[in-house]
Amino acid sequence: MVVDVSLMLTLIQLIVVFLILLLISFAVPKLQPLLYASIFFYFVFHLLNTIVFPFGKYFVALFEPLPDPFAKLLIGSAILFYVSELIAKHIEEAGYGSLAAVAHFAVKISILTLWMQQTSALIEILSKLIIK
Amino acid sequence: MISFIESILGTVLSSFVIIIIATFMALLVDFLFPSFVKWTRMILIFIVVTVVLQPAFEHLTLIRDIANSISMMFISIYPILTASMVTAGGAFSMLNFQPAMLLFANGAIVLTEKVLIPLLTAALILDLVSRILPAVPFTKMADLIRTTLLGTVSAVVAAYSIFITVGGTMSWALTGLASEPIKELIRQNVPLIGSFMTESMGTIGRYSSGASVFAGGWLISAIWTVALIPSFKTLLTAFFYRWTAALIEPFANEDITGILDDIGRTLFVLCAVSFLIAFAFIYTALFSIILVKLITTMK
Repeated sequence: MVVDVSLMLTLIQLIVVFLILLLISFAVPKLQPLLYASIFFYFVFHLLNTIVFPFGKYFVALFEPLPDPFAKLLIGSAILFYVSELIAKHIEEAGYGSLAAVAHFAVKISILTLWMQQTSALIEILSKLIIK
Repeated sequence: MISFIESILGTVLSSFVIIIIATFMALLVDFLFPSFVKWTRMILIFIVVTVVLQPAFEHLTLIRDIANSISMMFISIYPILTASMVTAGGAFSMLNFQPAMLLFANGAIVLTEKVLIPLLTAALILDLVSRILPAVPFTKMADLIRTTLLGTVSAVVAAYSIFITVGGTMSWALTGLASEPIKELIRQNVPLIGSFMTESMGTIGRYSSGASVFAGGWLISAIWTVALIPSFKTLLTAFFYRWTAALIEPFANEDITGILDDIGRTLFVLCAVSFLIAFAFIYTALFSIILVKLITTMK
């Protein structure tokens, strides 16, 4: 499986990244925030590509017997929420808290719009019971 | 008979499997994203309402439609029946077919359609609301509505048996050693409405055994089957819901098992309500058959 193979590699990469960051903070302290951010984003996208997205696909395939959009919707919105939270936290650490809050808020709204169709179906089912 | 049990088993069991898989999925997501707990709970409720409760909602609309069509049928057939009763004259006095009872039976249908089933829908929605929003619980209200409905239905059935036994011409052929154990079995094993079921069965049986002299056993059993199939289906579905709730209780969210349990209970009450409809249907059908027979033999 994809996840098994790349897991050890990723952990080693994490240690390397950590060491590089330490090295940078020692060698060029002024460039540290910039380099930290770039390495962080590079690492996050790398992780998403190698572990999170394959796992998401695997997860959706695993729960295929469930009625169609639910498994996809749940894992998709959970990953989206998690990534957004991660990035927002990073931005906040850099000192731009309000920007992070706004970005996170926008992602939350987009997650809600993903769920809108299901919500309206639910409301329709319940209201069908009452109206008639 | 077998095929419809299979179809109910199919729908309810498949939704049971779906609940188990969904619970497992929710467990996984909770483990991965602990901040997502509320959402996973919400999506479980979504799945339960849109997929699993579909058979229950279908039964509710089914019974509602049946009540509606029978009350329409009664309204259209009543003038003809009364007119022919007038022309049939004294033939009815030997039969204990009071016109008042016909009116009563169909009044019960109108009551069912206009009051009981909307109240039951309200109970169902209150249950759902109190599970979705645990901060605003309506469980006591829903329970109150259910017990009130059950009381009303029992009172109506008791009134039926008074109507029938007052004439004294009918006697239930099934009483005696053979049926007592069965009655006891039903009373013990069907929750909430067991004793009510045996009582109403007894009432209908007492009535139709008197009528079988005129209508013939096969015809009566056919009418029984047609009238009781919706009730029986509802009862079976209610049982499946409660079994599902009992089976998934160890590993599912308490909300989910609670919803299933509540829906099962509501369906039991729905079954009791549908007995009223079945009763009125049997009564009207037998009445019409006997009327036609009397008119044709008198000439």
